[in-house]
Amino acid sequence: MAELKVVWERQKNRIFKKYSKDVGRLITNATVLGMATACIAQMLAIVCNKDIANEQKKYLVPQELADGTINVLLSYILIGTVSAISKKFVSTGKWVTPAIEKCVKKHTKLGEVEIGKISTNLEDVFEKKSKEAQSEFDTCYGNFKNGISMGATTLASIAACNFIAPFGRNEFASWQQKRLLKEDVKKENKTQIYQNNKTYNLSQGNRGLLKI
Amino acid sequence: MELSFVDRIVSAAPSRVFQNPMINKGIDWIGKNISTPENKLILGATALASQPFIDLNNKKVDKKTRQISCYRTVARIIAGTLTGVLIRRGFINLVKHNSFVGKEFENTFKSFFTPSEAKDYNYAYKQYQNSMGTGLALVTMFITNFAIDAPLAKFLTNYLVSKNLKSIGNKPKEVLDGRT
Repeated sequence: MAELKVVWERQKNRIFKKYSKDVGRLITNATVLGMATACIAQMLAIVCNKDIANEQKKYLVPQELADGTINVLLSYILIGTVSAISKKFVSTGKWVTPAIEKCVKKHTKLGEVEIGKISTNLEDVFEKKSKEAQSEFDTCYGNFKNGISMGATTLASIAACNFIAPFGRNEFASWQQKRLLKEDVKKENKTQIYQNNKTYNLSQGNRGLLKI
Repeated sequence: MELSFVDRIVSAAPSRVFQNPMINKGIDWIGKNISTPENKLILGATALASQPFIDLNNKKVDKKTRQISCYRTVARIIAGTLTGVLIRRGFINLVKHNSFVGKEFENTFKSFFTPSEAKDYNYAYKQYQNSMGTGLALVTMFITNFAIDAPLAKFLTNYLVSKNLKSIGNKPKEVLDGRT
């Protein structure tokens, strides 16, 4: 019981350290996991749905698979990158509000922090300051950073999941449906040829018995 | 030192001070109030406004396939958004009501989700509550995707198909049997 408590405490602290100041990473990981499980569940649902014709299933299952795969890839590549860029814009001070500028000037020495420089990290600077300075910084910085991060990742999610992914999945599903239907036609033709040959051979086979 | 791709983009972009108080208020409001459930709702609403039309205009498949794909997309978006928003919001509220900071809450259920490293309530703690709630929701959704989401999407798809049989162009029995 005590061991479980320790493990649980460790997990809580891990989530606190990793995600409390990184909304963008939360959105990215949540999108990836959500899309992956939804994709698997939906594919199973299509396969088990007796009310959908097989011809449509040959389109819908590849469509769902492609949708899940493209969404997961786009989440990491596009949404992850946009999240990292938006975080960097705010933490370096490239994008600031007058309140943040005022707070930085008040609590740092002249030349200590260069706002807008790529190597600057305002969060690291204020971590070493007094509690009063940290509290004032959190008030003006925290919601601004979350707002920028949330806005950017939401826009990236909309572009990725609602425009890029649907076009990609439809292309793949159309190609896959055509390929599977062609294979079905080939199989039907082979069966037909076999049936025709069987009928022909049966009709020819009687001649041998009539030989005198 | 070589700059990463992200660093290069940020270096090349111009600096900006957000002077407009309305814009700053809006950004602060988003930072304070928008989390994963709201993000899911926004994604769902924009998906309904775009994905069905993309499916309907896919000329590489026949009309019947396009229409059924469109109905399935609508059903999937409604089912996914409904369950996603409700489950995420439910778990975030559960965490918020059981993650109080303070000595008086120690060893009670009111601090079950409180991390030992958290010292007070600030914007980071609120994000932790959102993250923990979202994490629990995602674990639950491994089950609800199969138990609720997929059957609900199937039900909605069949309902939409049965309501629009004339436009699909087949008699009811032939559609349900899968014969053209």
